[in-house]
Amino acid sequence: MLKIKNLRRLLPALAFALLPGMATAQQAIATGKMLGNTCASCHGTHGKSFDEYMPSLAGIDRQQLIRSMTDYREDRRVSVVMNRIAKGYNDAEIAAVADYFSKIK
Amino acid sequence: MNRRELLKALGAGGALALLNAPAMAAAKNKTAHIVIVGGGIGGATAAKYLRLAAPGVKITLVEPVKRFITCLRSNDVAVGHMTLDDITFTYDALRARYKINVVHDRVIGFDPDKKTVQLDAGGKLAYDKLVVSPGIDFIYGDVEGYTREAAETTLPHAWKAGPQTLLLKKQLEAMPQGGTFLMVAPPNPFRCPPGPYERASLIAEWFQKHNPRAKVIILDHKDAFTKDVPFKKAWERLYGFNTPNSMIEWIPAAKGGTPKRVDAANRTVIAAAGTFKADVVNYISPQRAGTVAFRMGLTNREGWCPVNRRTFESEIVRDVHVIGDACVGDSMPKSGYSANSQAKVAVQAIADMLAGKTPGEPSMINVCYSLAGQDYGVSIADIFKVVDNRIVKLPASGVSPITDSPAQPLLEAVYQRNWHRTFANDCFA
Ligand SMILES: Cc1cc2nc3c(=O)[nH]c(=O)nc-3n(C[C@H](O)[C@H](O)[C@H](O)COP(=O)(O)OP(=O)(O)OC[C@H]3O[C@@H](n4cnc5c(N)ncnc54)[C@H](O)[C@@H]3O)c2cc1C
Ligand code: HEC
Repeated sequence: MLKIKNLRRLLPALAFALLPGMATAQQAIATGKMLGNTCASCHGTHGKSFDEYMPSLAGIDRQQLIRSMTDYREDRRVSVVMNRIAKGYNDAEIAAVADYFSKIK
Repeated sequence: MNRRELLKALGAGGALALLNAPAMAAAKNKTAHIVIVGGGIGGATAAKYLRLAAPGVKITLVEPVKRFITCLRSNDVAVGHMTLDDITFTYDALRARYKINVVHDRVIGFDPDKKTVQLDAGGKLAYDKLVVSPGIDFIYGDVEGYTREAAETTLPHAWKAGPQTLLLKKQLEAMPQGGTFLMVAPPNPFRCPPGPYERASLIAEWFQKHNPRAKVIILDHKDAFTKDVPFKKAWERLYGFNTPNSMIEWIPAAKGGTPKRVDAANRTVIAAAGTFKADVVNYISPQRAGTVAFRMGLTNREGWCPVNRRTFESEIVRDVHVIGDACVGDSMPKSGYSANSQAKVAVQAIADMLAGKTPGEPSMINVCYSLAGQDYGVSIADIFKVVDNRIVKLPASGVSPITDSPAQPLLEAVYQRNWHRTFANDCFA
């Protein structure tokens, strides 16, 4: 089977028609922990991925997570699923989840 | 603070100020007993995340089986790409790492006033909060000739992973060359909406290798299904769909696909579209909440459990939270990912309630990854919020885009395989 390193090189080949980002304007927002726990089903509990295929989020630099999520949301960064996931979060939620993961040791 | 410390504080007189409401709630929190009924995807996640959220509480998980087989990737088992062992998980980590009291028994009764559940082996468990995640059970007899006995012997649904999965596998292997595999796809709502179409795809792919003239026919109760656009695209690319030589034929309700009668002995299903005699019939039954939810009086007229969508507390019985396939999930599909996400919302609500706080804002995700072939994945990814007590899917997100690049479906197939491991760990380890 192909290794992820080789597959990642295929990512730029995914240049499909990109939709403009649609951040959602919502009233109350969930805590960083609540949001982060829902990411954990893919990125691992506490964002600690044990698996070479999935980027770890635990201890990630706050600004890096914010930048990655907004780039995914605005389709400035090519991805397989994250661009669809990121469209579900507004700036305040991304900041909250960034606070949460950046503080995990 | 425990009760003894509180009493000491009382005795000390001056420390009376300590006895404010949150402190009392916290003291109660420490000794609270949370009982979880069902150690599948939803129940196991709830047990683990409750421990993470509330280190001091007592948690008991009641689950009859010692080794849980995930339905997730069981379609791979049916065509021999994986084994049941690959998708089997134990309760060892929940016991050792998360100090969960795992009781291998079945809940058979319930007293909502005394707040106890009755175990099959005898004995009762008293709870402060109860979490119920019993999954689904099947409705038999919706059409003449389809019985539980037929399902268990000749027409497997294979919609709970285990012996039925292996029975289906054996039947596929025994099919004559050029034979017919007939699937009946269930009406909404049901567990794993893309599951039937993933299964049909993987069986068509398996036929390409082992039984190249065989055909897959899907009789459907519905006119549309989740991810049908990328699925049909994949079928065109891989199985000649929409050509005279297509290996897959899909007959929607509008074209007479709804089954009317079953002749189990002759492996025949009668629908408006015709009489279909097949070599293997995979009749995926209509579904309802797990039987124990009915026994406990938690279901509505449609056979599912209505809940407060912000907390998953039952709308019928207080202090009982129903999650996973069994609950009314509105726009959220009945999937393992949903059950896991709902468990985390229920945990937040229970921890907040035990601490005397208003339950926090919920947020949920569902992602269904499916294989249309071993190297061809399609997915749907959605974020959910609760608005006016309804679970609402946010408008963005959605299904895999269709592109000319083979990279997208290939990467999705790779992610899908690895996701199963990470996900199972998030639930059970
Ligand atoms: C073929 C197939 C493929 C699937 N693939 C995926 C996938 O790729 N991704 C995905 O997200 N979902 C998938 N699913 C769906 C997923 O399996 C379910 O949605 C998920 O298991 C629901 O979790 P649950 O906790 O509600 O129920 P379950 O996981 O079924 O757990 C229910 C548990 O309750 C226990 N129980 C029942 N009665 C009692 C009682 N009286 N007392 C105590 N315990 C009891 C049962 O033994 C069981 O262990 C698939 C399903 C199928 C059929
Ligand atoms: C369906 C599984 C899934 C879910 C859910 C998910 N992710 Fe991801 N994430 C991925 C994958 C896969 C990648 C690799 C990029 C790609 O192909 O999409 C990734 C990449 C990332 C990256 C880039 C990391 C890096 O190395 O640059 C960040 C940041 C991220 N995810 C954050 C999140 C956050 C925050 C959430 C929850 C709100 C989340 N993810 C939910 C699967 C998921």
